[in-house]
This record gives sequence, structure tokens and C-alpha cells, in this order.
Amino acid sequence: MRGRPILRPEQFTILDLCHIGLGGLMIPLGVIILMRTLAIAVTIPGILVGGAFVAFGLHRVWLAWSRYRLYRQDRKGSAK
Amino acid sequence: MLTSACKLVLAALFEIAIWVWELTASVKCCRMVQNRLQRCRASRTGECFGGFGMSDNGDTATAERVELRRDVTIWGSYTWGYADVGADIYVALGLVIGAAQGGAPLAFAAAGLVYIMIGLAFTELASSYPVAGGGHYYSLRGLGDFGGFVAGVALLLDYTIDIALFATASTGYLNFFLPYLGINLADFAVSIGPLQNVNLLWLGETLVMIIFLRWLNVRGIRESSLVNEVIGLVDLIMEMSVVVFGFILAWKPDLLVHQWLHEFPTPREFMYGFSLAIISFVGLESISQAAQETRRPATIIPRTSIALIFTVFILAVGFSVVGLGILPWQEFRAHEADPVAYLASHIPYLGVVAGPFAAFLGATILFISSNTGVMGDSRLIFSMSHFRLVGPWFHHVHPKYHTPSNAIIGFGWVGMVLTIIAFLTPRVLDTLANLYAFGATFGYMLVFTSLIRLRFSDPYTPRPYKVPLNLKRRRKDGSIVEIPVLGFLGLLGVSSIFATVVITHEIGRIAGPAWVLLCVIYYVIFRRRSGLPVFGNVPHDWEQEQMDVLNNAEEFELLEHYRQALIRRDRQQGILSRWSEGG
Repeated sequence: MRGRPILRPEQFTILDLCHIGLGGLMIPLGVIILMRTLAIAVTIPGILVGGAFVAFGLHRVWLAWSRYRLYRQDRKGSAK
Repeated sequence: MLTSACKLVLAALFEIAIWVWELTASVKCCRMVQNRLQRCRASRTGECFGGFGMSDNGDTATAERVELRRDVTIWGSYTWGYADVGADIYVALGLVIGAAQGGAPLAFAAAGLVYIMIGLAFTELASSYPVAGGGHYYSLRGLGDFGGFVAGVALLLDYTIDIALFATASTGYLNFFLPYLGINLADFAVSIGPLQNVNLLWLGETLVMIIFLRWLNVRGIRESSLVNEVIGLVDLIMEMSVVVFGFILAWKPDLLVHQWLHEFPTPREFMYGFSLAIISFVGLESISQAAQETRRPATIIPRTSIALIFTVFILAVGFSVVGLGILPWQEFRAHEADPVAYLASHIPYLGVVAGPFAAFLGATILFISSNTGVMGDSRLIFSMSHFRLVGPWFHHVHPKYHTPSNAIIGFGWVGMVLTIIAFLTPRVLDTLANLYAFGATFGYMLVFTSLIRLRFSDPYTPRPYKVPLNLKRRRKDGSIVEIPVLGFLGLLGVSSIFATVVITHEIGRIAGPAWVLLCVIYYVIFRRRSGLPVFGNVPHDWEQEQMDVLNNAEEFELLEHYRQALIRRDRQQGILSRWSEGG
């Protein structure tokens, strides 16, 4: 009851596309922020925000990948 | 003189046009709400306000429960919350950067960590007790009538300040357009004796807006879930665009690093900024307020709530980092009335459009947030009246519109008085934010206490989501209690912000406790006169209430879990359970 399973996707939607696009955008943006700030000095804001962007992007991409795997499983199940 | 008058009239016409547009959008999209009201009127059960119906004569004895229709979806729940919490950054950005200077990102991050814990606590409580009422209801369940009352008055203070603060901020963003009309806002500032720089135009606009909101709410017109969804979505896109394009096109890391290293605030200034930063996260209660209208709340609320918590956290820290990498902190302090619009207008290529658009969107979303204050006040006081924590005067329902007009008009007046007082101080938004932070942190302390207490006093209610980090402990009766370590950490964190507010906020530390004290005096007098226990509790059948709530939410699996848990408990105690088949 405690776990929060990923919602099983019924079809590929525009929202999925937005999630993947946002995730894909966040990772390079976070890396650029980290590189540019660390090149000048090691500061908490730079690490915090750059790291958060990368983590958020990775989470989004992981979520999209997990949903895609569930989607494929369901398709295979229904085909059988 | 004549030119000034013409400009003033032009400005007034412009703002009226914007309000009319907002009203039109609201009216067009609130048919669903109006239909609901009409159904309630037709069924003679009163209006659908806060989940409680009233007879026309406003007699509390005849109050009966009317369930709100559950039509808020997962996306609706998210954007409903975002329309409320997302608006805070429009106010907080200028105030926090102005106070915490180069250390503003750290202030946002530190307050954000406490906010994450608050958010997780609300997620557990709102998914376990999906009723409109929020912190007041949890405190009532966990701490009894007096605790519920104190939490209620802290939230009432917050909602009332919410009306004043967001109406002031909304008109502040509208004033972004005044230079386009050739009007200088500073021309309307007057000094009367010891009162310096009282801006009569801004004050007038704010008072008119509050009166307008009162009128809307007395007539029962409010923005629907659809309006919240659309505005929440547009705002989310806009805020993300400002952050992302700000980083790509305008951000100068050397400026950020310079301000971080050489313009870091003194400890007291940082503490002040840290305590103000909490206001950029206030409003998560709106998800619990909407819980009674959410489909399958136990499933939806944890998802939306956690997504919302992290979105707002990343955006708040992101705004401060991008802001200090584009502009010096002094510029934010000089533009604390419209910081997001000012920041957006400094993004190359896009600034010409992004600035005015951010100002317009800021004015709209803050207007809606201010309306949330009016609605929250009246819902909350209605709920408190239902549980006999305040007198029946607040239960009065307008004979024609079936809305709690006394509560709306009464708290509207309080909001207007607070606005006028705040305008007489040197920094109007700072004064209101002072009080806002006091009410929020005080209320959150009681919510954390309730979370911990309810784990012990009500371990049988199914919790679809639990805050992480729990220690299992077996009690003497054999039942297992999970002690929420994060709840204690959160209580510690929010208590530290509360202590900071009391130490550093000169107005908040006097006006806040005075408000609570006055309300407690009223409570003592009311309960004595009504023959009710002052510090004791009026009997409530919480188990039946919880059954009804889960049943109405169509959470049948949880309902069965709850029933079985109660039967097991009764068996262990050797009594025939009223929840078993033969009970």
C-alpha cells in the first residue's frame, strides 16, 4: 500500500513527449551551469542548482524509460 | 495637473480592463460551480461551501453535510496547487534577495529543505484525511478542540494576510505598466508627519481590488478548476522559460560568484532572509483543501503533492541563482514590487515581450491567490463554526447567494485594515510578509505536532503515503506504531524558522502573538457562554467520520483496511466491534 508504482501508460501522449523533452533539456543545462560556475569558483548555489537540474533531468528520463518498458510489457501481454 | 489627472484616469481604465477580462474568464469558466450551487439551492441543503451545507436561516443546529463533487483530476490537483504555491515566488523573490543579498540562494535552499518536510507531512495527512479543512482539521483530530482552534486562527491570520499581501503584490505587478502610460508611481507618494512615502495610488488600487474580491465571493463567483489548470500551466511554462532562457541567454556566473563571495549578508540579515524565504513555499494546503474534491485522493494526492514540492523547490532556488547571475541584488530590492517581471525584462531578445507578459501573468496569478485567501478564510471559519470552535455568526448564509457573507465581508474588512496599516510602514510588502511568515510557521508547527500525535492516537487510519524515515515500536497492547523521525526533524526545522521570525521580524513578533491571544480570549468567552468545555473536547465520532470520508472518496480498499483494523483492535480489547457484521 505504501509504494507508489509508476502509472501504467495506455498510449504515448504529448505529455510524455514534454516530459522527455524537459528531461533532455535539463541535463545539458545542469552540466553547463556546473561547468561555468566551477570554472570560476566552487560555490554552493552553482553546485546546488546545476546538480538539481541534472538530477531532475535524469529522473525524468528514467521515468520515461520505465513507462516505456511498462508500455511494451502491456503490449506484449495483450498480443499474446 | 490636468495631464497627471488624465494619466491617472488612463491607468485606472487600463486596470479595470484587466480586471474585467479576468472576471469574464472566471464567469465563463465557472458554470460548473454555478450549476453545483444551483443544485444545492434546489435541494434546500444550502450552498456547497467547504463541504458543509446550511439552511437559509443560518441556524447551526440544522447544519448538514453536503459533499463536494469529486471532479479534480491528477493534473487538476497539480495545477490547482501550482496556481497557489507558484504565485509566491512573484512576491518572495524581491523580498528575500533584498534581505539575504548574495546569500539568497542559500536562504531559499535552507527554507526549501524545511518546506520539503512540511510538504511530505501534508502529503501524508491529506491522503489519509482527504477533507477540506487542512491544518485546522488535522490539529483538531490530533490535538483536540483547543489545538484545532489555535491552528485555525494561525491559518486565518495567514489567509487574511494572503488577501492583503497578494492583492498588494498583484497591483504592484499591474503598476509595471504605468511607465508605458507615462505615469510615475513615485509621484503619488505623500509624506504626512512621521509617515513617509505612503503611495496613495497603489493603496487605492489594492483596496479596490479587495472590495472587488469580496463582491465576487459574496455573489458566489469563483474561478473554476479549469481556470486554475490553465493559469497554473501557463505560469509553470512562463517561470520555467524565464529560468531556462535566463540561464542560456543572460546568466553571468562571475556576477553570481562575486555576490556570493563579496556581498554575503551578516548573520542577522541572512536569518531574516531565510525566515522570509518560507513564504515562497506557502500554499501547499491548497492541495489538502482540494482533497475533498479530488478523485481517488489516496492515489492522486501523493503523486501531485510530491511533484509539486520538488517543482517549486527547484524553481525557487533556480530563480534566485539565475537572478543573482543577471542583476545585482540591490536592483531586486529596488523592484521588490515586480521582481519577476523586472528579471524577465532583462533577458536579451525575449525581454521586450517576457517582461510585460510576466507582469500580466503575475498580476493575474496573484489576483487568484488573493482570492484563495478570501475563499480560504470563509471555508476555514465555516468549518470551525461547524465544529463549534467559533460562534454561529460566522455561519450566516446570504439569503440570495447562499454564501457565508458575514465571514467574507468580516475578513475582507480585516484584510483592508491590515493593508492600510502596512501602507503606513516604510516597506509595505515586507511588513505583510513578516506577518505571513509568522502565521505560516506557527500553523506548520501544529501540523507537525498533529502528524506525530496522530501516528500514536490514530494508528488504524490507512496511510496511503507515509513520510520517510520511520522507527517501528511495539506498544503494550501489541499494536505497532511507526514513529516519524522526519516529522520530528521537520518540527525542529519549522520551529527554528518560527524562532527566527520572532527574533528578527519586528512587526511579526508583536502583531502575530497579539492576534492569537485575542482569538484565544474570544474562544474562552464563546465556549464558556455556550456551556462547552474550554480546554476539553466536544465528543466527535471520528471513526464514523473517517468511514464516511473514505466511502465518499470511493477508496473502498482503504475503507476495508480501516474496518478490519478497527475490528482487530476491538477483538484485542475483548469487546464486540460495532464495525463487524454482527456489531
